[in-house]
Amino acid sequence: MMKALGVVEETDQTTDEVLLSRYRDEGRTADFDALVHRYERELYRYLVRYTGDAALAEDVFQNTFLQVHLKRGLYEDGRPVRPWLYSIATHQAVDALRKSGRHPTISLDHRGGSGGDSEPSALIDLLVGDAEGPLAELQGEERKEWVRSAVEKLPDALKQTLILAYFQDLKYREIADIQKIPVGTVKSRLHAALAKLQEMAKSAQHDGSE
Amino acid sequence: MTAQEMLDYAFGLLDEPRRITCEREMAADPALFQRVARLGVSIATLVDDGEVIEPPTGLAVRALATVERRKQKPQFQDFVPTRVPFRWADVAVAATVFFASILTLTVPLLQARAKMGQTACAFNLGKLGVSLAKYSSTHGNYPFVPASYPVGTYGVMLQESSNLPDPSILACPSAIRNQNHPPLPDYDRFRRLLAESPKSCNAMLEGHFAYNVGYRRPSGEAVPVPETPASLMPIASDGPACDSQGQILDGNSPNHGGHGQNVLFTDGHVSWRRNRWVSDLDRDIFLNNANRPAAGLHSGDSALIPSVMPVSLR
Repeated sequence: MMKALGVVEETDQTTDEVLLSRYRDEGRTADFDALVHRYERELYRYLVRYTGDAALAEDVFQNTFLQVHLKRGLYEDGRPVRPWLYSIATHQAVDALRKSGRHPTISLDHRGGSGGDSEPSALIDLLVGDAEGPLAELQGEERKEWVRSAVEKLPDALKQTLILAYFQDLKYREIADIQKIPVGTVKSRLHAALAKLQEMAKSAQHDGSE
Repeated sequence: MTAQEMLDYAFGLLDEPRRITCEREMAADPALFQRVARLGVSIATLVDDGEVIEPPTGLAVRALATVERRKQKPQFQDFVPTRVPFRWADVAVAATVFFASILTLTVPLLQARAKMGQTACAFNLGKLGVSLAKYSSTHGNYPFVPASYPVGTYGVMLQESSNLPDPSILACPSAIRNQNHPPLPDYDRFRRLLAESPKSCNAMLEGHFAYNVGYRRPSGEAVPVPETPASLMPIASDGPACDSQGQILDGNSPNHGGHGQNVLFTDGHVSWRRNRWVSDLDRDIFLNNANRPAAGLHSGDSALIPSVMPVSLR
Protein backbone atom coordinates (compact mmCIF):
# COMPACT_ATOMS: atom_id res chain seq x y z
CA MET A 1 0.00 0.00 0.00
CA MET A 2 2.85 2.29 0.89
CA LYS A 3 4.49 1.41 -2.39
CA ALA A 4 1.33 2.24 -4.40
CA LEU A 5 1.01 5.59 -2.66
CA GLY A 6 4.63 6.29 -3.45
CA VAL A 7 4.04 5.70 -7.16
CA VAL A 8 1.00 8.02 -7.20
CA GLU A 9 2.92 10.78 -5.46
CA GLU A 10 5.82 10.37 -7.82
CA THR A 11 3.67 10.54 -10.96
CA ASP A 12 1.75 13.54 -9.63
CA GLN A 13 4.91 15.61 -9.59
CA THR A 14 6.26 14.35 -12.88
CA THR A 15 5.86 16.37 -16.09
CA ASP A 16 3.69 15.10 -18.93
CA GLU A 17 6.78 14.74 -21.09
CA VAL A 18 8.59 12.50 -18.61
CA LEU A 19 5.47 10.39 -18.04
CA LEU A 20 5.00 9.74 -21.74
CA SER A 21 8.71 9.09 -22.39
CA ARG A 22 8.77 6.61 -19.54
CA TYR A 23 5.59 4.88 -20.70
CA ARG A 24 7.06 4.60 -24.18
CA ASP A 25 10.36 3.16 -22.94
CA GLU A 26 9.36 1.15 -19.88
CA GLY A 27 5.64 0.57 -20.42
CA ARG A 28 4.78 1.57 -16.86
CA THR A 29 0.97 1.55 -16.63
CA ALA A 30 1.04 4.00 -13.70
CA ASP A 31 2.52 6.67 -15.97
CA PHE A 32 -0.19 6.22 -18.56
CA ASP A 33 -2.91 6.22 -15.87
CA ALA A 34 -1.56 9.49 -14.53
CA LEU A 35 -1.68 11.08 -17.98
CA VAL A 36 -5.27 9.95 -18.63
CA HIS A 37 -6.47 11.24 -15.27
CA ARG A 38 -4.54 14.48 -15.66
CA TYR A 39 -6.23 15.29 -18.98
CA GLU A 40 -9.64 13.75 -18.25
CA ARG A 41 -11.47 16.99 -17.46
CA GLU A 42 -9.55 19.32 -19.79
CA LEU A 43 -9.69 17.19 -22.91
CA TYR A 44 -13.28 16.08 -22.37
CA ARG A 45 -14.41 19.73 -22.11
CA TYR A 46 -12.63 20.55 -25.34
CA LEU A 47 -14.18 17.59 -27.13
CA VAL A 48 -17.70 18.36 -25.92
CA ARG A 49 -17.41 21.96 -27.10
CA TYR A 50 -15.82 20.98 -30.40
CA THR A 51 -18.14 18.10 -31.29
CA GLY A 52 -21.23 19.54 -29.58
CA ASP A 53 -22.14 16.01 -28.45
CA ALA A 54 -21.28 14.59 -25.01
CA ALA A 55 -21.62 10.92 -26.06
CA LEU A 56 -19.45 11.42 -29.12
CA ALA A 57 -16.90 13.34 -27.00
CA GLU A 58 -16.63 10.37 -24.64
CA ASP A 59 -15.93 7.98 -27.50
CA VAL A 60 -13.37 10.36 -28.97
CA PHE A 61 -11.70 10.76 -25.58
CA GLN A 62 -11.24 6.99 -25.27
CA ASN A 63 -10.00 6.69 -28.83
CA THR A 64 -7.58 9.55 -28.27
CA PHE A 65 -5.81 7.73 -25.47
CA LEU A 66 -5.93 4.48 -27.38
CA GLN A 67 -4.07 6.31 -30.16
CA VAL A 68 -1.61 7.75 -27.64
CA HIS A 69 -0.92 4.19 -26.49
CA LEU A 70 -0.51 2.92 -30.07
CA LYS A 71 1.58 5.88 -31.23
CA ARG A 72 3.73 6.17 -28.13
CA GLY A 73 6.73 5.05 -30.17
CA LEU A 74 6.41 8.15 -32.34
CA TYR A 75 6.66 10.49 -29.38
CA GLU A 76 9.95 12.37 -29.45
CA ASP A 77 11.71 13.25 -26.20
CA GLY A 78 11.14 16.82 -25.09
CA ARG A 79 8.21 17.48 -27.41
CA PRO A 80 5.40 19.20 -25.46
CA VAL A 81 2.72 16.61 -24.72
CA ARG A 82 -0.28 18.96 -24.47
CA PRO A 83 -0.31 20.14 -28.14
CA TRP A 84 0.45 16.58 -29.30
CA LEU A 85 -2.50 15.26 -27.30
CA TYR A 86 -4.84 17.99 -28.58
CA SER A 87 -3.68 17.30 -32.10
CA ILE A 88 -4.56 13.60 -31.80
CA ALA A 89 -7.86 14.43 -30.12
CA THR A 90 -8.79 16.91 -32.86
CA HIS A 91 -8.06 14.37 -35.60
CA GLN A 92 -10.09 11.75 -33.78
CA ALA A 93 -12.95 14.24 -33.36
CA VAL A 94 -12.93 15.19 -37.04
CA ASP A 95 -13.01 11.48 -38.00
CA ALA A 96 -15.85 10.79 -35.57
CA LEU A 97 -17.87 13.75 -36.89
CA ARG A 98 -17.39 12.53 -40.44
CA LYS A 99 -18.41 8.97 -39.53
CA SER A 100 -21.52 10.26 -37.80
CA GLY A 101 -22.39 12.25 -40.92
CA ARG A 102 -21.73 15.61 -39.30
CA HIS A 103 -18.98 16.87 -41.51
CA PRO A 104 -17.07 19.70 -39.89
CA THR A 105 -17.17 22.91 -41.88
CA ILE A 106 -13.70 23.01 -43.37
CA SER A 107 -14.17 26.23 -45.34
CA LEU A 108 -11.81 28.97 -44.26
CA ASP A 109 -13.70 31.55 -46.29
CA HIS A 110 -14.37 33.97 -43.50
CA ARG A 111 -13.78 37.18 -45.37
CA GLY A 112 -17.37 38.21 -45.70
CA GLY A 113 -19.15 40.75 -43.52
CA SER A 114 -17.08 42.69 -41.06
CA GLY A 115 -14.04 40.62 -42.05
CA GLY A 116 -11.51 38.63 -40.10
CA ASP A 117 -8.54 40.34 -41.66
CA SER A 118 -9.38 43.64 -40.01
CA GLU A 119 -6.77 45.31 -37.82
CA PRO A 120 -6.99 44.53 -34.08
CA SER A 121 -7.83 48.19 -33.36
CA ALA A 122 -10.76 48.07 -35.79
CA LEU A 123 -11.93 44.82 -34.20
CA ILE A 124 -11.80 46.40 -30.73
CA ASP A 125 -13.78 49.41 -31.99
CA LEU A 126 -16.33 46.96 -33.38
CA LEU A 127 -16.55 45.05 -30.10
CA VAL A 128 -16.68 47.97 -27.65
CA GLY A 129 -18.32 50.57 -29.91
CA ASP A 130 -21.88 49.52 -29.17
CA ALA A 131 -22.71 50.78 -25.66
CA GLU A 132 -25.20 48.06 -24.84
CA GLY A 133 -23.90 45.34 -27.08
CA PRO A 134 -26.02 43.52 -29.66
CA LEU A 135 -26.95 40.77 -27.20
CA ALA A 136 -28.11 43.19 -24.48
CA GLU A 137 -31.74 42.26 -25.03
CA LEU A 138 -31.06 38.56 -24.49
CA GLN A 139 -31.04 37.34 -20.94
CA GLY A 140 -29.78 34.25 -19.10
CA GLU A 141 -30.48 30.97 -20.83
CA GLU A 142 -31.63 32.72 -23.99
CA ARG A 143 -28.20 34.37 -24.44
CA LYS A 144 -26.33 31.19 -23.55
CA GLU A 145 -28.35 29.26 -26.11
CA TRP A 146 -27.64 31.90 -28.73
CA VAL A 147 -23.87 31.76 -27.95
CA ARG A 148 -23.78 27.95 -28.17
CA SER A 149 -25.58 28.02 -31.48
CA ALA A 150 -23.44 30.86 -32.89
CA VAL A 151 -20.13 29.18 -31.96
CA GLU A 152 -21.44 25.94 -33.48
CA LYS A 153 -22.13 27.78 -36.74
CA LEU A 154 -18.58 29.12 -37.05
CA PRO A 155 -16.36 27.58 -39.74
CA ASP A 156 -14.46 24.64 -38.26
CA ALA A 157 -11.01 26.27 -38.19
CA LEU A 158 -12.33 29.40 -36.47
CA LYS A 159 -14.34 27.37 -33.97
CA GLN A 160 -11.32 25.22 -33.11
CA THR A 161 -9.12 28.27 -32.58
CA LEU A 162 -11.70 30.07 -30.46
CA ILE A 163 -12.31 27.06 -28.21
CA LEU A 164 -8.60 26.38 -27.75
CA ALA A 165 -7.82 30.03 -26.96
CA TYR A 166 -10.82 31.02 -24.85
CA PHE A 167 -12.01 27.86 -23.11
CA GLN A 168 -8.86 25.74 -22.98
CA ASP A 169 -6.49 28.62 -22.12
CA LEU A 170 -3.84 27.40 -24.52
CA LYS A 171 -1.08 29.78 -25.64
CA TYR A 172 -0.70 30.96 -29.22
CA ARG A 173 2.36 28.75 -29.70
CA GLU A 174 0.47 25.66 -28.49
CA ILE A 175 -2.53 26.38 -30.73
CA ALA A 176 -0.18 26.90 -33.67
CA ASP A 177 1.43 23.50 -32.93
CA ILE A 178 -1.93 21.76 -32.73
CA GLN A 179 -3.28 23.29 -35.93
CA LYS A 180 0.11 23.22 -37.68
CA ILE A 181 -0.19 26.85 -38.75
CA PRO A 182 1.90 29.97 -37.99
CA VAL A 183 1.16 31.98 -34.85
CA GLY A 184 0.09 34.92 -37.03
CA THR A 185 -2.61 32.77 -38.61
CA VAL A 186 -3.86 31.75 -35.16
CA LYS A 187 -4.26 35.42 -34.26
CA SER A 188 -6.06 36.26 -37.49
CA ARG A 189 -8.39 33.26 -37.03
CA LEU A 190 -9.19 34.44 -33.53
CA HIS A 191 -9.95 37.94 -34.81
CA ALA A 192 -12.06 36.46 -37.59
CA ALA A 193 -14.03 34.32 -35.13
CA LEU A 194 -14.80 37.34 -32.94
CA ALA A 195 -15.75 39.48 -35.93
CA LYS A 196 -18.01 36.73 -37.22
CA LEU A 197 -19.73 36.31 -33.86
CA GLN A 198 -20.21 40.08 -33.55
CA GLU A 199 -21.66 40.16 -37.05
CA MET A 200 -24.04 37.30 -36.23
CA ALA A 201 -25.07 39.07 -33.01
CA LYS A 202 -25.82 42.28 -34.90
CA SER A 203 -27.88 40.52 -37.52
CA ALA A 204 -29.76 38.69 -34.72
CA GLN A 205 -30.42 42.07 -33.09
CA HIS A 206 -31.79 43.46 -36.38
CA ASP A 207 -33.95 40.37 -36.90
CA GLY A 208 -35.33 40.76 -33.37
CA SER A 209 -36.09 44.46 -33.72
CA GLU A 210 -37.95 44.07 -37.04
CA MET B 1 -0.76 48.98 -24.72
CA THR B 2 -1.42 47.98 -28.31
CA ALA B 3 -4.75 46.79 -29.66
CA GLN B 4 -3.35 43.27 -30.01
CA GLU B 5 -2.22 43.32 -26.39
CA MET B 6 -5.70 44.44 -25.32
CA LEU B 7 -7.19 41.44 -27.13
CA ASP B 8 -4.53 39.12 -25.73
CA TYR B 9 -5.19 40.45 -22.23
CA ALA B 10 -8.89 39.83 -22.59
CA PHE B 11 -8.18 36.26 -23.71
CA GLY B 12 -5.55 35.71 -21.01
CA LEU B 13 -2.94 35.07 -23.67
CA LEU B 14 -0.33 37.57 -22.46
CA ASP B 15 2.82 36.19 -20.92
CA GLU B 16 3.48 37.07 -17.30
CA PRO B 17 5.95 39.98 -17.64
CA ARG B 18 3.89 41.66 -20.35
CA ARG B 19 0.65 41.17 -18.39
CA ILE B 20 2.15 42.93 -15.35
CA THR B 21 3.33 45.85 -17.52
CA CYS B 22 -0.10 46.17 -19.12
CA GLU B 23 -1.83 46.13 -15.75
CA ARG B 24 0.44 48.95 -14.59
CA GLU B 25 -0.46 50.94 -17.71
CA MET B 26 -4.16 50.37 -17.04
CA ALA B 27 -3.78 51.39 -13.40
CA ALA B 28 -2.27 54.68 -14.56
CA ASP B 29 -4.88 55.28 -17.26
CA PRO B 30 -8.52 54.88 -16.17
CA ALA B 31 -9.82 55.34 -19.74
CA LEU B 32 -7.63 52.49 -20.95
CA PHE B 33 -8.78 50.36 -18.04
CA GLN B 34 -12.43 51.09 -18.94
CA ARG B 35 -11.83 50.17 -22.58
CA VAL B 36 -10.09 46.88 -21.75
CA ALA B 37 -12.78 46.01 -19.22
CA ARG B 38 -15.53 46.65 -21.77
CA LEU B 39 -13.64 44.57 -24.30
CA GLY B 40 -13.46 41.69 -21.84
CA VAL B 41 -17.19 41.90 -21.17
CA SER B 42 -18.00 42.11 -24.90
CA ILE B 43 -15.90 39.02 -25.66
CA ALA B 44 -17.38 37.09 -22.74
CA THR B 45 -20.90 38.05 -23.86
CA LEU B 46 -20.20 36.82 -27.39
CA VAL B 47 -18.26 33.66 -26.56
CA ASP B 48 -18.94 32.42 -23.05
CA ASP B 49 -22.07 30.31 -22.79
CA GLY B 50 -21.46 29.87 -19.07
CA GLU B 51 -21.80 26.13 -19.38
CA VAL B 52 -19.75 24.12 -16.90
CA ILE B 53 -18.80 20.83 -18.48
CA GLU B 54 -17.79 17.97 -16.22
CA PRO B 55 -16.65 14.58 -17.49
CA PRO B 56 -18.96 11.66 -16.76
CA THR B 57 -17.96 9.55 -13.78
CA GLY B 58 -15.32 6.97 -14.60
CA LEU B 59 -14.39 8.36 -18.01
CA ALA B 60 -10.67 7.94 -17.36
CA VAL B 61 -11.21 4.41 -16.05
CA ARG B 62 -13.19 3.48 -19.17
CA ALA B 63 -10.49 4.95 -21.39
CA LEU B 64 -7.86 2.89 -19.56
CA ALA B 65 -10.04 -0.19 -19.88
CA THR B 66 -10.30 0.39 -23.64
CA VAL B 67 -6.52 0.49 -23.89
CA GLU B 68 -6.23 -2.56 -21.69
CA ARG B 69 -8.67 -4.52 -23.89
CA ARG B 70 -6.63 -3.58 -26.89
CA LYS B 71 -3.50 -4.85 -25.19
CA GLN B 72 -5.23 -8.19 -24.67
CA LYS B 73 -6.09 -8.45 -28.38
CA PRO B 74 -2.98 -7.22 -30.10
CA GLN B 75 -3.28 -6.34 -33.77
CA PHE B 76 -0.75 -6.20 -36.54
CA GLN B 77 0.46 -2.67 -35.79
CA ASP B 78 1.16 -3.61 -32.16
CA PHE B 79 3.97 -5.83 -33.37
CA VAL B 80 5.64 -3.06 -35.32
CA PRO B 81 8.61 -1.92 -33.24
CA THR B 82 7.76 1.39 -31.62
CA ARG B 83 11.32 2.63 -31.86
CA VAL B 84 13.82 1.32 -34.34
CA PRO B 85 17.36 1.70 -32.99
CA PHE B 86 20.05 3.04 -35.29
CA ARG B 87 22.08 0.24 -36.85
CA TRP B 88 24.98 0.48 -39.27
CA ALA B 89 23.71 -2.67 -40.95
CA ASP B 90 20.57 -0.76 -42.03
CA VAL B 91 22.72 2.01 -43.45
CA ALA B 92 24.78 -0.56 -45.34
CA VAL B 93 21.65 -2.20 -46.77
CA ALA B 94 20.24 1.19 -47.78
CA ALA B 95 23.54 2.16 -49.41
CA THR B 96 23.67 -1.17 -51.27
CA VAL B 97 20.13 -0.73 -52.53
CA PHE B 98 20.95 2.83 -53.55
CA PHE B 99 24.07 1.88 -55.49
CA ALA B 100 22.38 -1.15 -57.04
CA SER B 101 19.60 1.16 -58.23
CA ILE B 102 22.14 3.60 -59.64
CA LEU B 103 23.94 0.76 -61.43
CA THR B 104 20.69 -0.69 -62.72
CA LEU B 105 19.76 2.66 -64.16
CA THR B 106 23.22 3.69 -65.32
CA VAL B 107 23.98 0.66 -67.51
CA PRO B 108 20.81 0.93 -69.65
CA LEU B 109 21.29 4.71 -69.86
CA LEU B 110 24.84 4.32 -71.12
CA GLN B 111 23.74 1.62 -73.57
CA ALA B 112 20.91 3.83 -74.83
CA ARG B 113 23.32 6.74 -75.21
CA ALA B 114 25.77 4.56 -77.18
CA LYS B 115 22.92 3.33 -79.38
CA MET B 116 21.83 6.89 -80.04
CA GLY B 117 25.42 7.77 -81.03
CA GLN B 118 25.53 4.82 -83.47
CA THR B 119 22.18 5.81 -84.98
CA ALA B 120 23.18 9.46 -85.43
CA CYS B 121 26.47 8.34 -87.00
CA ALA B 122 24.68 5.97 -89.40
CA PHE B 123 22.29 8.78 -90.32
CA ASN B 124 25.22 11.06 -91.28
CA LEU B 125 26.90 8.28 -93.23
CA GLY B 126 23.63 7.62 -95.09
CA LYS B 127 23.42 11.27 -96.12
CA LEU B 128 27.09 11.23 -97.09
CA GLY B 129 26.30 8.18 -99.25
CA VAL B 130 23.66 10.19 -101.12
CA SER B 131 26.15 13.04 -101.69
CA LEU B 132 28.83 10.64 -102.90
CA ALA B 133 26.36 8.87 -105.21
CA LYS B 134 25.40 12.22 -106.78
CA TYR B 135 29.06 13.08 -107.24
CA SER B 136 29.92 9.70 -108.80
CA SER B 137 26.92 9.84 -111.13
CA THR B 138 28.23 13.08 -112.66
CA HIS B 139 31.96 12.29 -112.47
CA GLY B 140 31.87 8.55 -113.20
CA ASN B 141 33.82 7.83 -110.00
CA TYR B 142 33.99 8.70 -106.33
CA PRO B 143 36.08 11.75 -105.30
CA PHE B 144 39.74 10.99 -105.89
CA VAL B 145 41.94 12.80 -103.43
CA PRO B 146 45.25 13.94 -105.01
CA ALA B 147 48.51 12.60 -103.63
CA SER B 148 49.92 14.56 -100.66
CA TYR B 149 46.50 16.00 -99.83
CA PRO B 150 44.81 14.92 -96.62
CA VAL B 151 42.19 12.27 -97.25
CA GLY B 152 39.47 14.52 -95.82
CA THR B 153 39.82 16.65 -98.96
CA TYR B 154 36.99 14.49 -100.36
CA GLY B 155 34.64 16.68 -98.30
CA VAL B 156 35.99 19.85 -99.94
CA MET B 157 35.55 18.22 -103.33
CA LEU B 158 31.96 17.27 -102.55
CA GLN B 159 31.25 20.81 -101.39
CA GLU B 160 32.92 22.29 -104.49
CA SER B 161 30.68 20.15 -106.73
CA SER B 162 27.59 21.38 -104.87
CA ASN B 163 26.82 17.86 -103.67
CA LEU B 164 27.30 18.54 -99.97
CA PRO B 165 24.20 20.18 -98.47
CA ASP B 166 25.59 20.24 -94.92
CA PRO B 167 29.30 19.77 -93.99
CA SER B 168 28.30 18.44 -90.56
CA ILE B 169 27.37 15.08 -92.18
CA LEU B 170 31.09 14.48 -92.82
CA ALA B 171 31.68 13.56 -89.19
CA CYS B 172 30.39 11.09 -86.65
CA PRO B 173 28.59 13.09 -83.91
CA SER B 174 30.31 10.91 -81.29
CA ALA B 175 33.75 11.87 -82.62
CA ILE B 176 33.28 15.64 -82.74
CA ARG B 177 34.03 17.08 -79.31
CA ASN B 178 33.86 20.68 -80.50
CA GLN B 179 30.37 21.35 -81.80
CA ASN B 180 31.59 24.57 -83.48
CA HIS B 181 33.64 22.66 -86.01
CA PRO B 182 35.31 25.06 -88.51
CA PRO B 183 33.46 25.31 -91.87
CA LEU B 184 35.05 23.99 -95.05
CA PRO B 185 36.47 26.58 -97.47
CA ASP B 186 36.21 26.37 -101.27
CA TYR B 187 38.76 24.21 -103.06
CA ASP B 188 41.15 27.03 -104.11
CA ARG B 189 41.24 28.51 -100.64
CA PHE B 190 41.75 25.05 -99.17
CA ARG B 191 44.75 24.53 -101.45
CA ARG B 192 46.29 27.86 -100.40
CA LEU B 193 45.59 27.12 -96.75
CA LEU B 194 47.15 23.67 -97.10
CA ALA B 195 50.36 25.27 -98.40
CA GLU B 196 50.42 27.95 -95.72
CA SER B 197 49.14 26.11 -92.66
CA PRO B 198 48.63 22.35 -92.89
CA LYS B 199 47.74 22.28 -89.19
CA SER B 200 44.69 24.50 -89.67
CA CYS B 201 43.60 22.22 -92.55
CA ASN B 202 43.90 19.21 -90.26
CA ALA B 203 41.84 21.03 -87.65
CA MET B 204 39.10 21.45 -90.26
CA LEU B 205 39.12 17.79 -91.22
CA GLU B 206 39.64 16.25 -87.79
CA GLY B 207 36.90 13.81 -86.86
CA HIS B 208 35.62 13.43 -90.44
CA PHE B 209 34.83 9.94 -91.68
CA ALA B 210 37.65 7.76 -93.02
CA TYR B 211 37.44 7.49 -96.79
CA ASN B 212 38.33 5.01 -99.52
CA VAL B 213 41.36 6.33 -101.43
CA GLY B 214 40.92 3.94 -104.38
CA TYR B 215 43.08 1.09 -105.55
CA ARG B 216 45.97 0.32 -107.87
CA ARG B 217 45.62 -1.33 -111.20
CA PRO B 218 48.05 -4.12 -112.07
CA SER B 219 50.01 -1.45 -113.92
CA GLY B 220 50.54 0.38 -110.62
CA GLU B 221 48.32 3.28 -111.54
CA ALA B 222 46.19 4.53 -108.62
CA VAL B 223 42.56 5.00 -109.60
CA PRO B 224 39.43 6.09 -107.69
CA VAL B 225 36.54 3.80 -106.87
CA PRO B 226 34.34 3.77 -109.98
CA GLU B 227 30.68 4.71 -109.96
CA THR B 228 29.71 1.06 -110.28
CA PRO B 229 32.48 -1.10 -108.83
CA ALA B 230 32.65 -4.80 -109.71
CA SER B 231 31.86 -5.76 -106.14
CA LEU B 232 30.28 -4.06 -103.16
CA MET B 233 32.94 -1.87 -101.55
CA PRO B 234 33.18 0.10 -98.30
CA ILE B 235 33.45 3.79 -99.20
CA ALA B 236 33.51 5.60 -95.85
CA SER B 237 33.39 4.75 -92.16
CA ASP B 238 34.18 5.81 -88.63
CA GLY B 239 37.91 6.56 -88.54
CA PRO B 240 40.39 4.14 -86.91
CA ALA B 241 42.56 4.92 -83.90
CA CYS B 242 45.99 6.41 -84.77
CA ASP B 243 49.10 7.03 -82.70
CA SER B 244 51.02 10.30 -82.60
CA GLN B 245 53.18 9.17 -85.56
CA GLY B 246 50.09 8.61 -87.70
CA GLN B 247 50.26 4.82 -87.47
CA ILE B 248 46.87 3.09 -87.57
CA LEU B 249 46.39 1.08 -84.40
CA ASP B 250 44.73 -2.29 -84.02
CA GLY B 251 41.12 -2.53 -82.97
CA ASN B 252 37.90 -0.83 -83.84
CA SER B 253 37.21 2.87 -84.26
CA PRO B 254 37.34 4.83 -81.00
CA ASN B 255 34.22 6.78 -82.06
CA HIS B 256 31.90 4.25 -80.41
CA GLY B 257 34.01 3.13 -77.49
CA GLY B 258 35.89 0.53 -79.55
CA HIS B 259 32.77 -1.64 -79.88
CA GLY B 260 32.70 -1.37 -83.68
CA GLN B 261 32.20 1.07 -86.53
CA ASN B 262 29.55 2.15 -89.00
CA VAL B 263 30.54 1.49 -92.60
CA LEU B 264 29.02 3.05 -95.73
CA PHE B 265 29.05 0.82 -98.82
CA THR B 266 28.91 1.80 -102.48
CA ASP B 267 25.26 0.73 -102.75
CA GLY B 268 24.40 3.38 -100.13
CA HIS B 269 23.63 1.08 -97.21
CA VAL B 270 25.25 1.59 -93.81
CA SER B 271 26.26 -1.42 -91.74
CA TRP B 272 27.47 -1.73 -88.13
CA ARG B 273 30.64 -3.83 -88.06
CA ARG B 274 32.03 -5.30 -84.87
CA ASN B 275 35.45 -5.88 -86.47
CA ARG B 276 37.54 -4.70 -89.39
CA TRP B 277 36.97 -7.73 -91.59
CA VAL B 278 34.85 -7.20 -94.74
CA SER B 279 35.42 -10.28 -96.87
CA ASP B 280 38.15 -12.73 -97.74
CA LEU B 281 39.23 -10.31 -100.49
CA ASP B 282 39.28 -7.38 -98.07
CA ARG B 283 40.45 -8.54 -94.65
CA ASP B 284 40.99 -5.14 -93.01
CA ILE B 285 38.76 -2.20 -93.68
CA PHE B 286 41.41 0.35 -92.63
CA LEU B 287 44.44 -1.21 -94.33
CA ASN B 288 45.08 -2.65 -97.77
CA ASN B 289 45.95 -6.28 -98.19
CA ALA B 290 49.64 -5.37 -97.74
CA ASN B 291 48.65 -4.13 -94.26
CA ARG B 292 49.39 -0.51 -95.18
CA PRO B 293 47.16 2.57 -95.01
CA ALA B 294 47.29 2.98 -98.75
CA ALA B 295 45.30 2.32 -101.92
CA GLY B 296 44.00 -1.22 -102.34
CA LEU B 297 46.08 -3.81 -104.13
CA HIS B 298 43.20 -4.69 -106.46
CA SER B 299 39.67 -3.55 -107.25
CA GLY B 300 38.23 -5.61 -104.39
CA ASP B 301 40.72 -4.37 -101.77
CA SER B 302 39.62 -1.26 -99.96
CA ALA B 303 41.41 0.92 -97.41
CA LEU B 304 39.46 3.60 -95.54
CA ILE B 305 42.11 6.13 -94.50
CA PRO B 306 41.65 8.68 -91.67
CA SER B 307 40.71 12.14 -92.93
CA VAL B 308 43.82 13.94 -91.63
CA MET B 309 46.26 11.42 -93.08
CA PRO B 310 47.97 12.53 -96.31
CA VAL B 311 47.46 10.33 -99.34
CA SER B 312 51.24 10.37 -99.94
CA LEU B 313 51.65 7.75 -97.26
CA ARG B 314 50.28 5.03 -99.47
